[in-house]
Parts: sequence; structure tokens; C-alpha cells
Amino acid sequence: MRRRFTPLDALVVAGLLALNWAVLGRDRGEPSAAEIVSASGIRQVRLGAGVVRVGGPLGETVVEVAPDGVRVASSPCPLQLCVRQGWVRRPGGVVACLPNRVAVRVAGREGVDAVGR
Amino acid sequence: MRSAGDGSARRLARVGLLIALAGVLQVLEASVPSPAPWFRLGLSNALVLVALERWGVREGAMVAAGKVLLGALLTGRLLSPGFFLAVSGTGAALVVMAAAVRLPGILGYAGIGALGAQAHAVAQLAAAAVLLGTPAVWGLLPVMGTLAVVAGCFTGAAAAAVAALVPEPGLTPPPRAGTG
Repeated sequence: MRRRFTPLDALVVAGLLALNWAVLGRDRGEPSAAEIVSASGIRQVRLGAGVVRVGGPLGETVVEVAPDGVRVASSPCPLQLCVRQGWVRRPGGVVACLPNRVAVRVAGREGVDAVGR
Repeated sequence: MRSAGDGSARRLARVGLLIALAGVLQVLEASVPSPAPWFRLGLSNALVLVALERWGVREGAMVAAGKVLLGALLTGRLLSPGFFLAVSGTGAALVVMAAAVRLPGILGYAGIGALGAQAHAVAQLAAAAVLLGTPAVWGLLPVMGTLAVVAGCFTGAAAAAVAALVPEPGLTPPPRAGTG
């Protein structure tokens, strides 16, 4: 009979958590810009740019770019997961809307940024 | 010895029962508030793990496929982007958990559940990166992966509880009065 929890499980869980947070550690520093990916390509927008409207297969997604973060203010998608996710302020943080093919990412100022290019 | 026909009918009944249960769990989870809009506990993955552990890869794959299809039909997401994420996630979790189950007696249910949940999250993000045509979504991994690992421990514990109700393979079920 298999056990519910073994010492190796603790090791596996600790290892997985460390892996996830190692990925997080790659984006550091101050948020510097917002990167908006949509059907029409990638757009770099300075933080504090305000409302940016991008098109997608379902219609118009309204992105709000504040001085300290980004959010999707409105979206034509059915489940509204992107709107409900709210503000993202951490460098490397992302709000994505799959149905309308839009992703907004907070870019960090420090370090070589291999992700997002 | 019973005939082969009897065995496959039994298997179909067991697999069908788990798929039905997985469907119910997915509808329940979709209607419960969660810490992030895209986060769900994934209790239905526990049933895939039960099938893998108790009966084998074939049964696990049947439960996984049935779970994804039934879940998509019940929540109205068939062929939507979310559906492709579910297919990728469930498929990856199935492969990883099937491999982890093969390591006999080393990993417990919680560890296998955590591995499956991590695979689920990574595959979902990979599918999202392909659908969106950008690697930017990988930025969700730290939060999503961490929540997944914690949730995976819970679903693993749930799988242990369900598996305790299922007779060990090769053993005859204990005789009972009436039918359950």
C-alpha cells in the first residue's frame, strides 16, 4: 500500500518550490516599462502611459499602464480572467488574455532580459 | 478464472465512475472562489492518480481523457483556448504521474500529486506561450507553480483517501452485504 506522505515527498516538494522561485528571481529591479503583446505584434510602452487599446480576434482589449504597474481594464473575452486578475506590479509579472490573444508584461530595469524578446 | 469480457466490463464501470466524479468536481471547483482567477485545486486530477496507482496507465489515460472532455462540455469550454490548456496540462500531469507511480514505494501520494500539478502548470504555460506567440506568459510560473505544488499535495492526499476505498489490484474485493 502506497503511503500518503514519505520523506522523499518533502524533498520533491521543496525542490519544486525552489525551482519555481528560481525562475522568479530572474526578474529583479524596478519596473521600467510595459510590454504589450497582441495580434498586431509587441509594443513597448513606458510606465504611466495610461490607457492603451489593442485589438484581437474578439475585439478591443483596454490595458491600463500606471506608473507602478499594469492591468487589463476591460476585455471582450467570455471568462474575464484577465480583468479579474487585477493589477500586476512585479517585474516579470504578466496578465494574459488567451481568448483575445493579448499579454501584458512588466519589464524590469536591471539585468539582461532574455525572456520577452 | 473469470472471462476477459467480465474484466473489461468491470474496468469500464470503474473508469466511468471516476470520469463522472471528475466531471462533478470540475463543475464544483469552477463555482468556488479561488486566490487567483486561473487557479483551481484540481481535485479531478486526484482521480487520474487513483486510476494510475490502482489499475494502470491505460485506465489513468482513460480517466484523464474523459475528465478533460466531460469537464469542457460541462463548463462550455470545448475547443476554446482554455480547452487546449486543459488538454496540455492534463496530458503532461498524466505522463509525469504515470512515471512517478512506477517508482515503487518511494514516493507517497502527496509527492506524486505535487509532481503532476507542477507538470500541469508548466504544460499549460507552454500551451499559452504557443497560443499567444510569446514567451512572456512564463512570468506567471513562480506564482502558478507554487500554488500548483501546494494544491498537488492536497489532491495527492485526496487520492490517498479515494484509493483506500478501492481494493488493491490482484486482490478480491471484500465480501459485502448488499451492493454499494
